[in-house]
Amino acid sequence: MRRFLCAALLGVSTLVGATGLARAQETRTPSDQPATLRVSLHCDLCDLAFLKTNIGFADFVADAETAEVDVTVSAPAATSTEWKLAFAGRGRFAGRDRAFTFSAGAAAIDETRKELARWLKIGLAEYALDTGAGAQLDVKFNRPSTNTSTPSANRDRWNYWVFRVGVDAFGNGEQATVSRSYFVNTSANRTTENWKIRIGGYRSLNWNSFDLGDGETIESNVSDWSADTLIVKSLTGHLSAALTASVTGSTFSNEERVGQFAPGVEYDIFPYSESTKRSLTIQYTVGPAFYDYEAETIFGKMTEKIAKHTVSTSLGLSQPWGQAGGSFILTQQLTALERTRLTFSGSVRVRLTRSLTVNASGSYDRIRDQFTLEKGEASEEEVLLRQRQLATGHRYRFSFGFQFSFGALSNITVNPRFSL
Amino acid sequence: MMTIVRSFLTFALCLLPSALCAAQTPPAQSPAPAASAVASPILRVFLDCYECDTEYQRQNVTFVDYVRDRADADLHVLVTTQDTGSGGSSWTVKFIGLGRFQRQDRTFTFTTDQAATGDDRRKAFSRIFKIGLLGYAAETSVAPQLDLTWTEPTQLRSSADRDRWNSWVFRVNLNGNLNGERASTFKSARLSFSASRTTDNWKINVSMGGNVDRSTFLLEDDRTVKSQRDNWNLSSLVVKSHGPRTSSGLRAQLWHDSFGNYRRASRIAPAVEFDFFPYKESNRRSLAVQYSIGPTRYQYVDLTIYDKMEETVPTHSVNLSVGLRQPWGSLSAVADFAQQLSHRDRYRSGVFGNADVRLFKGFSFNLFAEYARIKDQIALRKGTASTEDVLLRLRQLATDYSYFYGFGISYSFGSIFDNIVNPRFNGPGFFFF
Repeated sequence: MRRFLCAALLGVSTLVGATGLARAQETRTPSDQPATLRVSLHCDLCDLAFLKTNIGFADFVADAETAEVDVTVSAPAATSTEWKLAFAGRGRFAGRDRAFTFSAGAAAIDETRKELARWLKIGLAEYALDTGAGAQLDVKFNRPSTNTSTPSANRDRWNYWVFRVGVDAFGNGEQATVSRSYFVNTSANRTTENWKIRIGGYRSLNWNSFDLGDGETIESNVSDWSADTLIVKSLTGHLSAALTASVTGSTFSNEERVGQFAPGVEYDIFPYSESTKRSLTIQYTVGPAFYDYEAETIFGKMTEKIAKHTVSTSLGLSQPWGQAGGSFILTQQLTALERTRLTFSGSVRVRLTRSLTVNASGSYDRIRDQFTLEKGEASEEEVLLRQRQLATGHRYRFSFGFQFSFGALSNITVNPRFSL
Repeated sequence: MMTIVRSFLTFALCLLPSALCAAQTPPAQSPAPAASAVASPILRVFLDCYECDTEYQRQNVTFVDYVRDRADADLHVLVTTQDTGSGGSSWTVKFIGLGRFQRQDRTFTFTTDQAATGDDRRKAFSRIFKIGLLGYAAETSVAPQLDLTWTEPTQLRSSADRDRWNSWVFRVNLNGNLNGERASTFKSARLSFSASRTTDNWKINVSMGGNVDRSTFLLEDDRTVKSQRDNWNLSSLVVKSHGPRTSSGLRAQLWHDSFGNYRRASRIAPAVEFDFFPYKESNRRSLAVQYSIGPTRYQYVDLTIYDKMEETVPTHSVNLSVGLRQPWGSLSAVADFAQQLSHRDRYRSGVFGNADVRLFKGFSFNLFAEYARIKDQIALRKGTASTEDVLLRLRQLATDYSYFYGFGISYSFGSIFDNIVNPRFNGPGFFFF
C-alpha cells in the first residue's frame, strides 16, 4: 500500500519538477493581443482628420502592407446618393470581408461625414473586437419610440400562440433494483406584453422495485398529474391581475383529485421590465378548492370543500455582486382559520472578493394544515422510500457553501487533454 | 371577507372573455418598422446557447427578432464554453449565416473569470453578441439606429499575477446540507481541495475531497432507522502534450468508499491518449482513444465473497470517446473496457451515449443511455444485505449488469417568434438549492 503511494507521489513530484522548467509563456492571458486595429483607408472624399478623431479604436495607416483591414469607400455617382463601403480582412483576418451601402448627401456636409464615420465603425467592429481596444467597444441602439422588437402580428399567422408536446422516459437498473419513470406534458402558450395565457397538462409515473434477496420483492409506485391554466392581464408597468385554475392528483399526498380556482392580483415594486435584474412582488389570491381523497383522511373524510386565500411576497435580485432571493408565503383556510401554512425561504450567492464566493439557501415551513393525511400507520417501506406524506408540524432545508480560489487567476489556457 | 371573494369572482369573470378576445386580435403595440433606406426586415436570430441567460438577452438586445427554430432564422448563433486553467470559462460564439447570409460566418472568442457572477457572465456575452450581430443587422431596417461606442481605457490591464504563481491555481470548496421534518432528517457535508496548473504543454491536477451523508427515519412503531455513507479520495493527474493530437499522462489515486466496501484503495496508472481531430477543435468535435495500465491495491471494510480482506490487482483499460457539437445538435459517446491482467475473465465493459438532436422544424429528441456488463465485482461484502441496506442503497449488491437511460421527444409549432419576456405571476424566482 505504502509502496504504491510513494511511487505515485514520486511520479507526480518528478513531473511537477519537470514543469517548473516549462516557461510561463505557455499560458495565455487576456492581454496577448495587438493594442489597436491597423486600417488602410482608400477614400478620396473622406475627411481623414474627422474620422481619426471619431474612431479612436483604430490606427489609420498609410502603408497598406502593415494593415489588417482594407477599407474602400466609393462616393456616390453624380445622380445617386448611394455610398459603398467594402471591408477586406488581411493577415489573421484574411477571408473576413463585408460590404455595405447607405444613402447620404455630399461628402462636405457635416451630416454625411458623421454618417460615414458611423458606417465605418459598424464595419470595423468585428475586427476591432480581437484587439486590445476590443474590451471597450459596445453597441448603442437608439430604440425608436414604436416597439420594433415585437414582431408584428401580420408577420405571425399563429398570433403568438405556441404549442408544445413532450414525452420523457427515464430508467435504471441492475439485478436487484429497477427504477422507471415517465413524464408526458403538453402546453399552449400565448405571451405578449399585455397578456400571458398558459394552458397545460402533465402526467408522471415513477416505479421502483427492490429484490430483498430472500424471495421478497418490494415495489413502490408514485404518480401525479395536473391540468392547469393561467391567464394574466398586464394592468400597468407594476400591476397585474390573473386567474388560475387547476385540477391535480397525487398518490404521495393522498389526493385523487383536487380542483382549484383562484383569481389574484400582483404588484411589483420595481417595473416588470427590470425582472431579470430585480423584482419585489406582492401577490394575493383567493378561491375555493375541492378535494377527493384516495383513502380516508385522519379526519375521517373522503371528500371535502374548502376556501382559502394566499398572500405572498417575493424578492429577486441579480446584480454585479451576485444573486439573492427570498419569499414569504402565508396560506389560510377561510373555512377553518386555524389551518395555516407559513413558508419562509431565501437564498444568496455573493462574490465577496475575486477569490471568495459564498452561497447559502434555506427554507422553513410551519405546517398546520395537513388535513389530507391518510388515516392509519405507514409501513417501513413507505417511510424509507418516501412513498407517502407523513404528519409533521415543520419542514426545513438549509444548505451553504463557500469556494475559495487563489493563484494564477488570469490563466485562460484551455487544455482539453485527458478530460475523461 | 365574502365581499372580497365576490368582487374577485366578478373581476375574474370579466377577465376571461377579454383574455380570449385578446388572443384573436393583434395587440395594441404592433410595431411600425422604422423608415429606412434599407428595406430588409428585422434580423431573425436563433440563439443556441445553454449559458447565456436568454431571457436577459431578449430583454436587453432588442434590435433583432428572436425565433424558436433554426429553420426560421437568418442567423444561427451557436455558443460553446470550455473551462480555462484558472477555473473560468472560455466562450466560443459562432455566427452561422443562413439564407441571404449564407457563407457569412464569423467566430468570436472571449473569456470570463472564475469569480464572475451570473450578471457578469450574461453582460460579457451580451456585448460580444451585439458586436457580432452588428455586421448582419446593418443590412436590416434597424441600421439607422445602430452605432458603435468606444471608451478610452483609463489604465492598462495589469498582468502582475501572470508569473508570480507560475500558472498554479488553488481551490477550496465546502458545502453542507441539512433538511428534515418530524419523522426524518438528512445531513451531508462535503469538503474538497485542489491544486492545478494548466498550460498548453502540461496539465497537472492534484485534488482531495471527502463526503459524509447521514439520514435518520422514525418509523411508526417508534423504531429509528439510521443510515450512513461516507467516502474520500486523493487523486492526481499529470498530462504532457505531444503534438496537436497525442498526450501521455499518469494517474495516481487513493480512496475510501463505504458503499463499495473499500476501506482504502490505491491505484497508479500511466496512460496515453490520441485524438483523431486536433485538440484545439475539441469544443466542436473530438474522437479520442485512451489506454492505461497499472496495479490497484484494495483493503476492504468487511470480508469479501472471495474471503479476502486485501489484495493487489493489475488491470488495464481502453476507452474510445466521441464528442460533437454541431448546428443540428450535439452527440457524445464513450465505449470502455477494463480487465484484470491476473484473471482475464474478470472484466467490465460499457457503452454510454448522449444525443440532443433537432431533427426537423419544431421537432427535437434527446437520448442518453448507458449499459455496463460487470464481471469484476471482487469487493462485494459476504453475507446477505438487510432491508434497509437495499432500500436506502447503503451497499453495493451483486449484479452482472447495470443500465440507465433517458429519452425525450419534444414537438412544438405555432408562432415562430420568441421575443417577449413577461414575468408576471411567475412565482418566486432566483432559487438555487
